[in-house]
Amino acid sequence: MSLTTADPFALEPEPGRALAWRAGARLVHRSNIFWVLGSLVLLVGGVAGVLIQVVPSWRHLYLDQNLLATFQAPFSSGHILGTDNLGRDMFWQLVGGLGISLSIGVGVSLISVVLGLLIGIFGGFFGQVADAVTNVVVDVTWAFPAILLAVVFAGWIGPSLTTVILSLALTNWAGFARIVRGEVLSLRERDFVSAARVLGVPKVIISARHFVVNLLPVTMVMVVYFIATSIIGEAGLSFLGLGVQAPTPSLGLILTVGRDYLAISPWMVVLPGVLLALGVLFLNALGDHLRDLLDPFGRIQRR
Amino acid sequence: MTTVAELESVTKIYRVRGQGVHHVAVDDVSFSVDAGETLGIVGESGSGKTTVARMLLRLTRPTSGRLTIKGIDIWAADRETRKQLPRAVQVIFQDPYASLDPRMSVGASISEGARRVFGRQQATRDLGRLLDIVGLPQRYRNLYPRELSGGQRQRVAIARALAMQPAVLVADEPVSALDVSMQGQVLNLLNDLRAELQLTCVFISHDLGIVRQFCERVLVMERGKVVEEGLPEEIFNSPTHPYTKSLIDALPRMSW
Amino acid sequence: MSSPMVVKPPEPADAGVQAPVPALEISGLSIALRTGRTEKPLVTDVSLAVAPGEIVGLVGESGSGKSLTALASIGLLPQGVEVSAGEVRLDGESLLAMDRKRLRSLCGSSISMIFQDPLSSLDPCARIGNQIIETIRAHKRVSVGEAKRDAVELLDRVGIPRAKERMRSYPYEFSGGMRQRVMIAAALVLRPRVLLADEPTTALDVTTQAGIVELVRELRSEMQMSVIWISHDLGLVGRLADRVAVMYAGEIVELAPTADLFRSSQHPYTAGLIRSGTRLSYGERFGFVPGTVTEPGHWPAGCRFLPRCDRATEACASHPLLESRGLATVRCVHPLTEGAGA
Repeated sequence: MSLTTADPFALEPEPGRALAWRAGARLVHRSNIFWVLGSLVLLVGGVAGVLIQVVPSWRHLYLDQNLLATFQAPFSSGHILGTDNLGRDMFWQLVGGLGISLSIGVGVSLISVVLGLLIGIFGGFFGQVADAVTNVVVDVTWAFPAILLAVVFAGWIGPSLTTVILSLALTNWAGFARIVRGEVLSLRERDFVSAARVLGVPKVIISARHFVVNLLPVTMVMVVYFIATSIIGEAGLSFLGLGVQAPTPSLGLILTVGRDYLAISPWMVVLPGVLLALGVLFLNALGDHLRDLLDPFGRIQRR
Repeated sequence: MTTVAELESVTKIYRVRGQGVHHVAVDDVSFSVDAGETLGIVGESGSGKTTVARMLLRLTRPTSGRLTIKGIDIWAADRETRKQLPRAVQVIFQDPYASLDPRMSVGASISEGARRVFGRQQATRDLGRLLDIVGLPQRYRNLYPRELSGGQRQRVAIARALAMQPAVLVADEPVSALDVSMQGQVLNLLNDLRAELQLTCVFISHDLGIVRQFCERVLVMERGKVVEEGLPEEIFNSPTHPYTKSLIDALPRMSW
Repeated sequence: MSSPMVVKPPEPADAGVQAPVPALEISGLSIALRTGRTEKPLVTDVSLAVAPGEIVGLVGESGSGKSLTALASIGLLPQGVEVSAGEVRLDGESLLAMDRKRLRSLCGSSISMIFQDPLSSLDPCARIGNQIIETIRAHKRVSVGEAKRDAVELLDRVGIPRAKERMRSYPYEFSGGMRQRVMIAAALVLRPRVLLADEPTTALDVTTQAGIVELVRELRSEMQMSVIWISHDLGLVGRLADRVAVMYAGEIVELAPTADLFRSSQHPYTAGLIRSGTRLSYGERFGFVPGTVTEPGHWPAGCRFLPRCDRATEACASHPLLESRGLATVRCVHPLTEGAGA
């Protein structure tokens, strides 16, 4: 008596449980508590920083001046981190600055990533001529210093948040476009892409459905790196006076003002400096961590 | 017998720019395939058999020569005419782990091309029928490739190709990457399908033994050229070209 | 019966002569994947003895554990994969118990291994001559000149034309078949007693395969070397091996002299493999074994081949042991020579 059926197809193994499709949930689960907490802190800080500038009743937190209590040291007279040259609360100034930094970071990052994807895929998949043109554009942009572009924009539309975002985004995308092009060059040789072409799927749809989706891990890692570089970039531009202008808080602005008063009190330089360093360090490390999780084969290089 | 596919003096030369070096992958190959026929192309690496397939699938441009499927000159046709090609010829690739997009569900992969040609609703209806034809349970349509075995993935690839109702099916080493004990399942499936659907089949393999059992006619390729052509039994029993002889000698010995 | 069966090669015809000490003896080897506190068995209770100068083929498909068995013998198991039981002896000395230093001194000189992809086992950035010389001088106190002579001699022996000149070549300058010959030369330059070959010809053309197989056969005779040749290709192994061990789902299911294995295979899986690999004339159905291999970790408690077997009965619910049947050993309650299952 046979215990098995005759139908061979019935004997193939039942596949395992349906996999969790919420990739984010999986990432969180696999990261240890440090990353999760750190990201949360940064997120909360950034959101708070934006809120205090947007919600009218909260503006006073960072705008209130007290000329009788300037350059207070931290832990004195009710200000956790002291006050700045106009007696404004340093803690809220820094939070506000963080909010600006992160907003700019996210904005620049998203624009860079989208531009990078579009142009990288165009060069990698749409023919030799497209590739040649793209490479020239990418190389020129890559070499172009963001500061120079910022100077141009500052002269044209005046220094502001927009200037910062535009000058950073329009130079940043090139590095990512290079990575995308490289990935597309190898992806397009994969059999499932060949199969899609034989099936008659137009190249544009293949790009969206196969390339972008398969590039998501790389993209996510680059987004985090870009936020880090944009924060430094913004601080630098504001420091030079080409970016955000008072009264909008900015870590770079605080630094540049504090520089003049270094003899009186170091806190206006030290505090935003430390915050910048810690924030960028954390973001770079977070990017590395994500890369370890998502890209074990080391295709992504930090700029 | 009507000729469904034809190659006329097709050549593919790869040039390395600036070095003057060139590699002749396919050298003046001509052959034709009749409706309902199964043609086998046998060769090892470097023989050019895969390049021939890719030119026939409009993936690699020939350096010279003409390729026609159902009367359409596939490389000279205009855009409108080219749209008929996905219904004329489809493909099954060798590596079941690379031929499906890991981020697309089985159902989405199978109807990826059919959706565009027959419309979304029709394609979804056909999906159920196709899964049956290749012997996969209906609920597999929501699974992802990583949950399937190699043999199951190949069946998904077959379903995807058949969804287009092609006249010609090009199978490029369809079982070489599968475990030996499971190759027969996929081969028998292909056998049944080509009979039932009256498919014309171009079967590419390095395994002369499989080709002999599966194909009505055989081409042997070596270094880009066709060195022998004929019925499998004839080639087996009285090979004329030394390369064919060495292929036969190297076949595994299963009986003692 | 709880003790592992140590399977020795068949006794020689003259009774007075004692059976030689096996060159390599694997007894009751079990290998498992350890993740955290869970242990997933990958290989269970494998016993195999290879006589000096004998070629044993180890055949299996994906998940059979054949590669792991070899890697365990030479101490190359990947991270997290460990030997959980059993012993491997080289000329009587335990390989698993010795310290790394002694093992390293034996690797290359007494026991050696070649792999499927020579590109990843040869340093792509070093000339092949230097790699071989390095290997020699790591084990023997000889001058560079002597080592060079040994290297050239062996390269010539394995069929590399203009061996002396080619010493200066890099791996990528060779074709696949030639590269494999270079790897064989590097592995054999110190005349090891035992060679483990893990699918060395799988990536090569059929015509090139035949050359490598022939080479190994010749070297076996010249050097009195024992070989364990691992492959998924039963037909290839059939041309080379004296005895064949068939593995399925982590254990040996049949072990027999080659001719007997093909002529009268006893285990249904072996018969299935032979059927799957046998080519017939046009139009015939292809042989196959229904179903797919069960993944490690999902092995049933009874016979692991049961889900795919058409001879299965209730008796197969308990795990079958290896038993002698003539010159072969089989792990089956209803071997094929018995007649149809109840």
